[in-house]
Amino acid sequence: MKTYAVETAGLTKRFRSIPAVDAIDLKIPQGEIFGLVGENGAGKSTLMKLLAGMMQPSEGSFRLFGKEGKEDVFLYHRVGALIEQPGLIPSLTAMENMKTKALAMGLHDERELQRLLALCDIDKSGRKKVRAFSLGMKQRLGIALTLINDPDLLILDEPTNGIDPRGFEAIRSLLLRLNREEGKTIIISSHILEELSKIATSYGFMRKGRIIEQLSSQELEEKSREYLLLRTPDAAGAAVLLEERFALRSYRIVSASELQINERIDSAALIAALVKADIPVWECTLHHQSLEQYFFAKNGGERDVESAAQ
Amino acid sequence: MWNLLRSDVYRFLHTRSTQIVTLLYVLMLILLVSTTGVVSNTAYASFDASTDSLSDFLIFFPKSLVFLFLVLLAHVLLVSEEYQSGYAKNLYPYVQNKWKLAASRLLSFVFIWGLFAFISILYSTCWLGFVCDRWGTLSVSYLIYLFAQFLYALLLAGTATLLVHLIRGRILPVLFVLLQPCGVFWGLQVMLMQHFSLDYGRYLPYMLSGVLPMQWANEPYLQLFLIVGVSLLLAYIGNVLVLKKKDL
Repeated sequence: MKTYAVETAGLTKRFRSIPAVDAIDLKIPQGEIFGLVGENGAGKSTLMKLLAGMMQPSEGSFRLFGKEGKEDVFLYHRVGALIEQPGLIPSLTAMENMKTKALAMGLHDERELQRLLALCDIDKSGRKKVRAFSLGMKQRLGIALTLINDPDLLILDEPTNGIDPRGFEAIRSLLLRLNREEGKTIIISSHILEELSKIATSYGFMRKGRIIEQLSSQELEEKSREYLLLRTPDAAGAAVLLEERFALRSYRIVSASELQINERIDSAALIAALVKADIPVWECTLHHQSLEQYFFAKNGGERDVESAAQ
Repeated sequence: MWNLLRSDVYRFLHTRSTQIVTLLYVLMLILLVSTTGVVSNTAYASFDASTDSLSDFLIFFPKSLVFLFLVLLAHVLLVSEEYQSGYAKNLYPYVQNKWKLAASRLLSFVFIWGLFAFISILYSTCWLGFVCDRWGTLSVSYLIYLFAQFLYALLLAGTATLLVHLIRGRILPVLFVLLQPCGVFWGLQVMLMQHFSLDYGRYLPYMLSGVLPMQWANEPYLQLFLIVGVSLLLAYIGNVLVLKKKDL
């Protein structure tokens, strides 16, 4: 039986009767890097807080690694969460912050703490107090703190906030390593969707507290890959002709006047063949959707999906 | 729970604000105990550094304003910092048993009270005992007296912690730990009692701890243990409920 790191059933959180998370049914298999995508106020942070045990659901339930919180009081020792802010004590150093949390969890290996600081590139901060840290340093220390208990599930809300491109790259490599080498399941949200698309193995698109679509990176790739959109008054006739002349297999008649061709095809030859067969061509454009464009398209087309005309 | 206590002790010893409060207490203690002519008075306790003996000081210190305020202030700063810095999000979800979490917050107060009491006893013994040779006498029942005063302080800590959990700030809890030992709430109660022609003052924890005799006597001690004990239990249950119900 497939084990899920996260399973939710009708998970709901309301604030003054307004649902921030609305009846979410979600399954995240172990070992995934699950990208949570949504606009501000979509409910990403609330969902993450619920899963991290920082909030009580108004309705519904969820299981982590097949168990509910009530069943195992140590369940959250398998979870590391960085949500909204790193939760650091400003008057302590990086190591003192690490030790404070480690002691609370009954861990005493100082060398391991040092290793985690080095892993997150924050080991050189020495006696510097956290209040003097840059935003990026605080975020990196926040990630190091989530790793103290060697969690199986990492919940990271905008972990790259305030981090420069080099730090960004380092965090991406770190998360990929944790996922591939140690098999950690990661739930991550980010506003920089192109960066998210470099690591996520599956996605959940959130809107108004609901998961409007959940798909794997392969499915997303499939949905957002390059395609040729042909606008003609006779889309069905064009499809028949192209099947015969170009052995076209992968296409979709979007409407009576629109044909989406998902295969690589010589567009000049295609137009010539159609014109020769007296099928007028109004427009023939090459489209490609990035994750960002896909996201905006999902969110009601609030920004036009950009297209690159060939 | 013990792990949380270990972590709290570590944080207490390394955090600037609690270090400052501890230092401030040491300075106040030196001033109170060593400087001739300093008279410290609270509503129900007084100590004169020029004439009183070590035993007088040991009876005075657990209910003195300086001790109560600073020991409670250190505790409030320690707990409220968890919310102010967001550290609570790093810690509280890992302790699913909120009864233990609430108990661990009180346990950290026990440590702070113990530390401040130890400093008080150590310094006063050195100065009033060994230097001034003003020892005085104490009986075994002093330990019960000290425990009763500790219980009262623990009740104040439990109430202050409840305020911290409720408002997630430090101003109101700090005001509470300043005004309660000062007798401000007691004064308000007196006004209410006069207005409504009631007399329940002798059942209030402030009064019970203030007039508690050093020598064991059934009525005041049992009354204090009962009222303060029940109040403390209610404060503890309040803490647990808030921790269970309130989101981080």
